[in-house]
Amino acid sequence: MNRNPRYERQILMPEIGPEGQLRLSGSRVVVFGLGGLGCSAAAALALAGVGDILIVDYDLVEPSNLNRQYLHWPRDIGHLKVESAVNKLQAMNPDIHIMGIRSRVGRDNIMDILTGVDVMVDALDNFPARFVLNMAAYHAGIPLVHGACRGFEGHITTLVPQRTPCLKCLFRESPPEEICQVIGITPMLIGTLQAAEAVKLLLGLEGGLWGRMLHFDCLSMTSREIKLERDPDCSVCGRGRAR
Amino acid sequence: MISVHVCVSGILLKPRGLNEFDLELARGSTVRDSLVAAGYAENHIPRIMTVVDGVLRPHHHVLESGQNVVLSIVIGGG
Repeated sequence: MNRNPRYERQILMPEIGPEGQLRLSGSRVVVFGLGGLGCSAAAALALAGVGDILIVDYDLVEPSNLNRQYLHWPRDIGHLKVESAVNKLQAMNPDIHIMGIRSRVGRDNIMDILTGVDVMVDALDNFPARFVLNMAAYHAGIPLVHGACRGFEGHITTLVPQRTPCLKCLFRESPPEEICQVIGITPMLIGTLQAAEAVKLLLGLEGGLWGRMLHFDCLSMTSREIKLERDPDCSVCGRGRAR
Repeated sequence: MISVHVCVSGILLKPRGLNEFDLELARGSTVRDSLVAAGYAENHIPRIMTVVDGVLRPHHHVLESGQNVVLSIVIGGG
């Protein structure tokens, strides 16, 4: 039994208990992207006691990151995001293993990163790279928690291979790229919800965002649920895929 | 002809300054046709996410009379 007092209050939860905490400590989650979403998701996973967290990003910390990416501090400007985040996350929870991988996500390296991974968190900021994750998740059979934000709005859904639509079912093409306008509260909310989805997947709990997307508007403080359906002609999981 | 009800959600630029409006379209019209008819510029259309009667639908989806179409911007930032 896990006697670490750090987890005492969540072990009291019937959905977790000592067995669930052990399951979390024996799990591996990979977070792709250490922007606003990734910082929040990784921090929540670390605090929950997920035992093995991989974080993947290529970039250096820039001053314009500091309004939302709270694992990166002014002293980290110019340093690797993965180094900055590993240091903070390890300080937050010394009892777990955190590994940073400085890399851009591509077809050439994605499957190596996924070795032993239980859940993937998509905290990236562009659709081409998100589509690479989606393809890999489908072929590896690993659930992918997708989140995105812009301004006061954000959305989240969980993509489970063979069970739900994949990202390509939902978005056939990448929208034109833009410099994303955003205030920190939005990715902090969505990233934390992504961690919640990941934890539920690891614990085998019901209630996940399977086949539905939650859209939040923090300006009007409204949310709505959008049903998602598989695209029979999807190029990844449907008739349109390469044989 | 068919008639659909359009709602513009969140920060998406509202054509005609309206949050909600009705559109008359030719039978067999797609979601994309409705976006053009609503007044969105060609270069804005790929940025628009469309939900038809509560279900996320691609732009080539064929509309039926009486459907409710909610427009919001595609969100992709991290």
